[in-house]
Amino acid sequence: MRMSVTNMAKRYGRWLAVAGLVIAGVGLLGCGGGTAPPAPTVKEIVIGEVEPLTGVQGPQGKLVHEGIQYAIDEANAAGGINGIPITLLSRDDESKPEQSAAAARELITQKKVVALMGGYVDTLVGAVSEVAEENKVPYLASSSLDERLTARGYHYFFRMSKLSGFSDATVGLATDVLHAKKVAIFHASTPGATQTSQRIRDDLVAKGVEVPVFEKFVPGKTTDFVPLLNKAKAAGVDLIVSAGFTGDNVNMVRQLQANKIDAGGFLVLYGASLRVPTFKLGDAANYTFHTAIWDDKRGLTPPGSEEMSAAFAKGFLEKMGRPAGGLEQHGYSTGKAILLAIQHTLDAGLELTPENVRDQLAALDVPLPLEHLKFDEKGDPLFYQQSIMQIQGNKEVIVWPEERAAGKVVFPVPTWEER
Amino acid sequence: MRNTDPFFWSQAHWERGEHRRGLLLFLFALLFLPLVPWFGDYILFVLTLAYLFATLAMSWTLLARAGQISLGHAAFFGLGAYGSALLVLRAHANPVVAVAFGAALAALFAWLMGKVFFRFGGLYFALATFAINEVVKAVVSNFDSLTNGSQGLVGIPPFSPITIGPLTIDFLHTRWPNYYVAWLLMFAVVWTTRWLMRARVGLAFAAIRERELAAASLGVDLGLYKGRALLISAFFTGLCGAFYAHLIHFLNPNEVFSLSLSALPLVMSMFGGMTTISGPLIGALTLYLVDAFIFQPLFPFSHQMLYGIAIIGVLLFMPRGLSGGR
Repeated sequence: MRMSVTNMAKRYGRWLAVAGLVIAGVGLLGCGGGTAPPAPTVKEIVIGEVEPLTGVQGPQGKLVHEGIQYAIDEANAAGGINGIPITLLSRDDESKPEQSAAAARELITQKKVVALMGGYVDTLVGAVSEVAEENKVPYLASSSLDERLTARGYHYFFRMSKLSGFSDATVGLATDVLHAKKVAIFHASTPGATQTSQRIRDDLVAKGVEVPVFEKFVPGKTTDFVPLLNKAKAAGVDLIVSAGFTGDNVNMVRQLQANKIDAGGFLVLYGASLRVPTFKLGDAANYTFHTAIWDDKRGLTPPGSEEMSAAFAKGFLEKMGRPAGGLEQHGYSTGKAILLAIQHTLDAGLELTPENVRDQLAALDVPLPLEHLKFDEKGDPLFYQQSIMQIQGNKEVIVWPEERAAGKVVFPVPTWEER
Repeated sequence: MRNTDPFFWSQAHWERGEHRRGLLLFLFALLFLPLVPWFGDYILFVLTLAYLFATLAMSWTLLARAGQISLGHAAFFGLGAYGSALLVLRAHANPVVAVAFGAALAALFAWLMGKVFFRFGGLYFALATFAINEVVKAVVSNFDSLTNGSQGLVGIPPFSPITIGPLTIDFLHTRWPNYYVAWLLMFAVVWTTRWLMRARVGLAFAAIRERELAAASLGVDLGLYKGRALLISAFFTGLCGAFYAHLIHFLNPNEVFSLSLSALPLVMSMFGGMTTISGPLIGALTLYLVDAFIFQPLFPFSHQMLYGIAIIGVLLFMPRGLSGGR
């Protein structure tokens, strides 16, 4: 039976439309992602960033991105690297590992970036690191803790943070400053938060501190923490450690106050995520502790990085209209590290290839506001160390380590009735 | 009067617009995409993910064809993923064997689930599936000694390389082998759906979907056929999960048992149209590829908003989805 053109169009039209859409979309992309070999003279330096800009980790990822973007804008405003402009290509992974992998693959194979950076939480960072390693492109993760990631022996994976930076600070506060006998730990069910919390528990127990409450929650999904907080109170703990993210910590502090739950001190492990909301919490945040790795106003920056730190703090405030926090600093220092590696590559007269940038990144030994950056053979930073601050009278006071302490800790903390 | 309810599934709606030859032509055309010279790693990887989600959407619709709405398909996806990954990591099994094991595990779980949950009808069944996903997620998140709990699994290997004469199929360093695996999964679920719709079992599904009581009075064994639908649907969903584990190399309970993974096939199926074989496939491919290739590059910070608007637009103006017309 013959089929008329109209009938054929009706019959196959839908499929032709879908096929057309696929091919047109892909075609557009293919045209944009030329595979021309790199020119001998570099006219533009292209760097990729994969970040959770939306989804569960969106609030944190955006702050890291702002720091990275600032580092690139600052470098371009100063004329680029040796006069060569820098282009940052940022991609949103929607807080999903498969999207992280897809974005990394696009940046490496289509956009031919010389390096990748960014990332928040280990499931996302891990997915990017796989693609980077496979394609031999250096990847510097802004925020990652899972020790299994650097135990894989990958050659192209580096990161700005490490687990012991948090666990040492927490154990130091609990044992050296607060002399706690019992500690409760609540942690988000992410790989990094789980591992850090387990390390803290093991280290505390080894020092004779009891951990009678050790509970996990789903970050961004668990909203009622009252049962957990009451459990800690019933156990008579001296300190609650929360290894959650911004929303989780804000909820916990508000629920402690609203329900007048007196359960000792409250330490936010990932303090970088709480510093801005802290000031929105007002009096409720008083006497809480949080980790802090950078604070220009309080001189919390490694020796040799003071000038860079002050310039960032001032410039960021002017540009964004609000002060930068720890996550923005993770982003900024990540950007600076990658830019330095590229600068060293060009200064050494080497071709700007991912391999050469990787070698220069591995060899960095430089003070940055976040830390004095030098990597061990696995790609972990050697000198990443958090300090601890307590909020007293709506101001932050460094209370650990002792050599940096700017004031006395208030402990035991006053009850909610006494405040 | 035009019926605007996407859940209004008269038999006429289910059967209309099934352009089978067009569908098969389209699927076979996709086989040649890796031969396009400028289709690099990235495009093949995105297409691989698109096919994976299309398979997931079609698997979910297999159950819907028997009138059962699941809000917990992530449980099957996660069980497939964890079953396969654990067999490889703990017992050093071949990943291909492990994928089959993962899918079988999901199917076994579905069979047990069906024994209990088919006592519930309609909305109650949907809510029960939603709840069971949370139960499975909690078990996997807390069974540290076996599953590594919330630390998740790292270093899940890809499929082992296959050497045929001078040709080595490398699943880690080249993208096209995974592309064809995803295509094969998609083709298998299309073929199974077509076969089911033509066979007695498909008629039984339709009878149950239209009116359970009438179907039972005609001798259709409700438990048996609903169970079959759930089992087949879970098996394919488990296959998707197992493939995902070996494609991404990482697993975390929060990701693979997520509510969004349960909602995704429903959304994609409704977007494409649930009344046709091709609908879920069209929905998944269109939504995923338009977002990846158009919305994301143009609007990196607000692409999800456009994604949402597109879904609402289709539901408002094409209630039976892209494939169902007005």
